Amino acid sequence: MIKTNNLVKVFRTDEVETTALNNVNLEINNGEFVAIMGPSGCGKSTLLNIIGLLDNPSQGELHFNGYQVEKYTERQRTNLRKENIGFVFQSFNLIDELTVFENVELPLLYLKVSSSERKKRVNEALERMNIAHRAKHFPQQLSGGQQQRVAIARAVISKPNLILADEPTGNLDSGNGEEVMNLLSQLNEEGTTIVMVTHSPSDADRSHRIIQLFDGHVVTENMRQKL
Amino acid sequence: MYRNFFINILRTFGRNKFYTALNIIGLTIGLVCTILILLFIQDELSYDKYNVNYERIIRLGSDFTLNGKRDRVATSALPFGPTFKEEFPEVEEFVRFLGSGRQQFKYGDKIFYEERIAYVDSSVFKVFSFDLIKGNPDKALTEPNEIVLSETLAKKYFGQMDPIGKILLVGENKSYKVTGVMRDLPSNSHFRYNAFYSMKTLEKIRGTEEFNSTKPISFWSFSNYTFLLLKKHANSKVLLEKFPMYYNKYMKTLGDQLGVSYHLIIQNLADIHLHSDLQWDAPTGNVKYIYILFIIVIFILSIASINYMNMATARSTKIAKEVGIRKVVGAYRENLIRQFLAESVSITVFAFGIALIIVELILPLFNSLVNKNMVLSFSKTPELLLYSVGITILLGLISGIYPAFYLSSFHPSVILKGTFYKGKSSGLLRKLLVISQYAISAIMISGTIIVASQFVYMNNKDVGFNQKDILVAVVRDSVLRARIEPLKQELKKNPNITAVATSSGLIGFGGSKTVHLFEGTQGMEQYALNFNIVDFDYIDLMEMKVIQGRNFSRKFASDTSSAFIINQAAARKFNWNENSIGKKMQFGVKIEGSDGDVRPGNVIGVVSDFNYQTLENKIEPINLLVSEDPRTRRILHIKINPNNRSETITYIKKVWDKFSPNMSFSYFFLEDRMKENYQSEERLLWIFSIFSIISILIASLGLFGLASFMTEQCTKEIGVRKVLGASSGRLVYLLTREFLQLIIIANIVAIPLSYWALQSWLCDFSYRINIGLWVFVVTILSSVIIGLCTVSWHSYRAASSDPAKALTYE
Repeated sequence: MIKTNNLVKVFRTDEVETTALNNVNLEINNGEFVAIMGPSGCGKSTLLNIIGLLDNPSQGELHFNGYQVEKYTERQRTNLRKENIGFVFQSFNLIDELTVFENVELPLLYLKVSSSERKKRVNEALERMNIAHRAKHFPQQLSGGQQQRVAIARAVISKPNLILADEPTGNLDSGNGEEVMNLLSQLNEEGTTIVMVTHSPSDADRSHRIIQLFDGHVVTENMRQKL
Repeated sequence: MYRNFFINILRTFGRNKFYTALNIIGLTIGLVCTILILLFIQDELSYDKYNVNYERIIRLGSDFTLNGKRDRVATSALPFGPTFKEEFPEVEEFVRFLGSGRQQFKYGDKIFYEERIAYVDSSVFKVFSFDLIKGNPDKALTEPNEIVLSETLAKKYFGQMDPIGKILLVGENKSYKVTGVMRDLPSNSHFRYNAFYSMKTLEKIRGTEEFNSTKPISFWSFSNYTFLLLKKHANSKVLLEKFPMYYNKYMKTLGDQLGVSYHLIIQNLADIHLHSDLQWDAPTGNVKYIYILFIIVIFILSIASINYMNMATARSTKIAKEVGIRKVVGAYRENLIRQFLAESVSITVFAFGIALIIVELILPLFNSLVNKNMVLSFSKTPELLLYSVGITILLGLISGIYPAFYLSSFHPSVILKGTFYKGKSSGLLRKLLVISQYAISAIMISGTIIVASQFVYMNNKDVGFNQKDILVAVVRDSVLRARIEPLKQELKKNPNITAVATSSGLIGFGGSKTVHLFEGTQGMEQYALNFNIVDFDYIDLMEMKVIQGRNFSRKFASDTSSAFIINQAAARKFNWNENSIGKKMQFGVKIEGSDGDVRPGNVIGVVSDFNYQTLENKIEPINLLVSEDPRTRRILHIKINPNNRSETITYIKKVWDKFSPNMSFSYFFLEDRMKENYQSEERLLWIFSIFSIISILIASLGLFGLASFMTEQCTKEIGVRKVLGASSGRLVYLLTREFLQLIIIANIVAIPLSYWALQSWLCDFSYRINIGLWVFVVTILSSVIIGLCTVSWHSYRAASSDPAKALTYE
């Protein structure tokens, strides 16, 4: 599904040039659950953003679902992203002005899904995340765990085949974290590919494979035997 | 999709109440000003267009040069009307208006003085759309001694009675039959008449032959307004082209004899109000003020719009997250641009709604300020609705376009990681915007100061005579004029009356001019000179300074027949300068067919220059003659002691009634009347002051909001500085400094611009103030003080907050 060839990402400000990714080569297959680990500042999130088509690499190749996409325009990336990728963030990133229902509905609006269809799908997703009773609430009225469940509902609403999660349990207590990881594992079992950045070894244990990054390089790739 | 749009907008407003309120207040005030000014401009542009035939009606004016002195007047001669109709097939009809001055009207026990009355031809109701509500428009004013009253006057004298056929006594002994009542002329009419006498009355007084005479002299007395109704599809330019032929036929012989050159002026009726710059015109508007108001509207809207941009972009750190999320879940940039524009347009439309309500409430106040009678009615003036809605939407789009493009450009990968900082470019642009706001405010402040100073200057300028405490009464009663000396003696018995004098013309208002002969280098030369015929007490009463020779004196019997006192301007004009005494002059010249007065004599004195006309005009040469002829004793001046004013006035009235039982006493104070000359400046002053206060207010609202954002963003910096030992005072200075710099730069930008603009405004005045450095010092100081007050509250609050909180928050 995803393949990178000598991926390089350099950030430039007026005075400083920082190489965030340096010749990263990796391949992620359909249905995989991959964890990316490494110390702070090693390039995990940068890699996730590039894989998620939020950013273009400075050099190297990126293949997504068989397309070579590293030179795509913003519009092309948006088109590909909105149909194929869902995002889950550490800080949930829900829009405060919108209700739970509206937050989850958002991707469908940009996919121009009809109103009745939207209503049906959002309700299903909320039921599934066990948060339907909170549909009319605003994000600030929810606990962290509930907010993350809303975020996951939003990520899956467009039925993407890839979910990118950036430290999804980072802001949650262990109970809520566990619940979120259960949801992700369940999605993976249903066939969704999951790429997750994490600091937590126990979360990483859920994955099939752990990619270790250090200073922008892939240092190890461990295949895990799922228990 | 759109539902989501608007729900989101409403919630955004709800969540940012403070900034939304600041924006709405700013935009509302801006739109209130806009609607008011649009109403004003529309009213000004609508003048005289209520006349169905307005596009076909023209007025004839005269442009003539005599002895190198050019005059352009709104009037023409009595025979112009009928002869134009006769000579030019393009002319369908003519109407002449000949003003009659103040008159006493009497019906039963109702006696009042009335103004703004004219003799008019009976065709008036055919040419103009004056609405005759009683009487027959074809028959009213066709016979001598007929009068048509305005509705107000008719009610005043006749109440509920039907006025038609009633006899109204006018002046001492004339009686007029009421043959019509017309609806009061609309306020957007350059005519201000309250009643019309039939022109036939004048014909009867002067004799039909004399009145309708086409002898040369009658073409050279520009005494009346002539309006022509042109035939459909006729072009007024043709009249101008054919005029030389007309001139040769009727005017050339005498013109050549007098040495006058003459050009016809043709004005369209609808152009008179705003574009006429002719003398002897009815009070008109000024197209310059329309331009000024238009610029003010743009200024105020720019300030309100910049407020919006500033606050929207300053909010960027908060909005960025939403932008990021929307992009991540699949929004294109244009989706977001549309969303932000919808936000700015919605807020302006909302502000427009409030503005309409406010305009409705304050319109009466504004009407009284600008002396108009405007109503906010979109059904009557749909174009006003179109313009104001158009402006509102445009304002919303302009305000939103920059924030929309700027905010939608954010990169989701950066934002969502939480490492987003506002770009440097936005900071620079915001600075530029604040600078332009304050530059506009500075222009408005300095404009207000200059207009106010010029106004005060005109009110207090040494006009060459003392206008204080002079009561003026116009003597219309010929019997009283003949008994003016005994009246004067009787008045002077009161110790509170210090002097009494008469003159033929009223000072400060221009007046009569006639051809004089004066002693030049090559014998006697001609010059059209202003004159005023005064009595022996006039120069003393006016406290004019005699700087050469002597004042008029009863001791010299010849003074009433051959003595002249001129002003310095005349002495300079004739090149007599310091040696004017004894120079030969002659008042009037003998013209064939004219029975005008001619008086040869010598200059016996020179008075220092005084403003015979308003201060917009340079002091012109003038000649004062002394006479005790009752005909010349028209204006009675009474200098009184200011302390016992009302008792003195009661005394004067008593004496007046004794001498003139038939003509009631009416008066005004010279000083008040002089001030009325500057009404249009006073109005401009008001408008300037109000709108400059408003523009500063809106700019301050914006700065207040901006300061709050900026200090919010500096919370961490403030915390760190405090931990390191910075005092609160130091921090306030730090936070305020940047704004102060911007305000000062704004002033530096504004000063040359406003200097240039104000200098060109002042050029209209012959007597004007100089723009001193102090004006700009005051401008800078006031904007700095206003800016400081606006910003320092936030700065102080931020600087005195607990640093630990700030740091944990970050």
